[in-house]
Amino acid sequence: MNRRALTCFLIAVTTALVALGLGLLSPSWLRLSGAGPHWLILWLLSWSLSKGPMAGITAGGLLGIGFDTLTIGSATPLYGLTLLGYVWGRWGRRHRHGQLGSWPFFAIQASLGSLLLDLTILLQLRLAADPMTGSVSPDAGILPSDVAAAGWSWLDIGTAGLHGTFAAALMTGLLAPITVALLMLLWQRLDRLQHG
Amino acid sequence: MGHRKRDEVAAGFAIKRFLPWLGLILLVAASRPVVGPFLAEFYALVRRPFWPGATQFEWIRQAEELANHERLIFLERENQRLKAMVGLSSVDSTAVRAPIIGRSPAVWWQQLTLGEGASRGIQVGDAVVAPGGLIGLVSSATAHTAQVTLVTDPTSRIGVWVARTSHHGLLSGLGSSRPVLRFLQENPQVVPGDVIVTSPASTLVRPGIPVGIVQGVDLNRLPAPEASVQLSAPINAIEWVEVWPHQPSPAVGP
Repeated sequence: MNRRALTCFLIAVTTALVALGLGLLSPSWLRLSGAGPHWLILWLLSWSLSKGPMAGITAGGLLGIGFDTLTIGSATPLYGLTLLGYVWGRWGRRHRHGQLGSWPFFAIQASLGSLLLDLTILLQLRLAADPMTGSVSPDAGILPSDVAAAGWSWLDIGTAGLHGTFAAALMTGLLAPITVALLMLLWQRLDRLQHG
Repeated sequence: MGHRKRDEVAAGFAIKRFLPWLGLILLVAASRPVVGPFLAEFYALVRRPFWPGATQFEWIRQAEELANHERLIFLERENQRLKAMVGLSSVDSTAVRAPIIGRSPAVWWQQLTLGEGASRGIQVGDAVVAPGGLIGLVSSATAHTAQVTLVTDPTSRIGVWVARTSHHGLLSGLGSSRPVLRFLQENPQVVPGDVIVTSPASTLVRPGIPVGIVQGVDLNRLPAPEASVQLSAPINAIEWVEVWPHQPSPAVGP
């Protein structure tokens, strides 16, 4: 019994680590102008739907912390992932015997989740930046604040940021039906293995 | 109705059951500075058998030729300038070759992860150079990995100048593949095709590393003219980079 639980735990951790690594490793043919799918969203969606809100929050938090250590800058996906873990966990509990296994549902949830996650990161990047960066007065040359407060301005967010956000949402939604369905099958099998 | 009540009871139980998990999250969060490097190290270890080989060789060759051309132009100019000055000794140091084992996970992080780190002498602030020119600076390093902030990242600011006219500017990332060059002068006399190299006045990066080519100039931009820059290193096609140790530039007298 205990050994089985350990096996299940190890498999869950391994798949989560693979999802973390794939974030840095998305092959170029899976990228839309540089933005790859959010692998963490795909993993978290399947996990929360089948394990419930508490497991979802925990996994979201741990994944967020892990991802944070692998990236530069101050923005972290932790808040977005935790929120999504909770929401999807609640959904999974409520519709346990419902139409969970439909692939359009996975695609839409993954896309929306990806948008929400990017929104939380966008807000962090914007709030962390110097509010003066956006406003420049004429004939001032390059402002010292322009140099010191380097970061995402509203202009950058409006162009490159939104572009990347929607590209990531598209790719995540595109991959969701197959990956989430497979992972949910895996969780089901593991549940059965664990409880005999 | 009874269903709702059961749900509430279940929620109460769930919160109690969640407490150990909360403890685990707090523990991991508190030990993040210690655990973080291990995660990066583990990633590097798993990725090691799949290090990039000699693919895309042609791309790199082309970029290298372009870089040599740019360097030639710059060095000629630099040579003339240096002939007038005496006593500037060039310090040579060894570069570390490192494979790229990770790329930007999303548009918000314009970064690379390298497969070499502090154990080979890579430090925060080192210049990362690919065939073609400068692509970024090292922003953190563990024993066997290093994170690079690319020049396309909005937090990246690098002092550069136009080699032809020796006008200074600030290369700022926009999050897209083309950074923007903000000039310090009102009239930078720059035309598309001009070569951008790191500034001799820069204390962050070694001077004279080629960065890119001016693509378009917007002279009406306020407060200072801007130029969009095409990087000369094809970041997405490159699998190996060189890390050049950071050295504070020697103080040049007036």
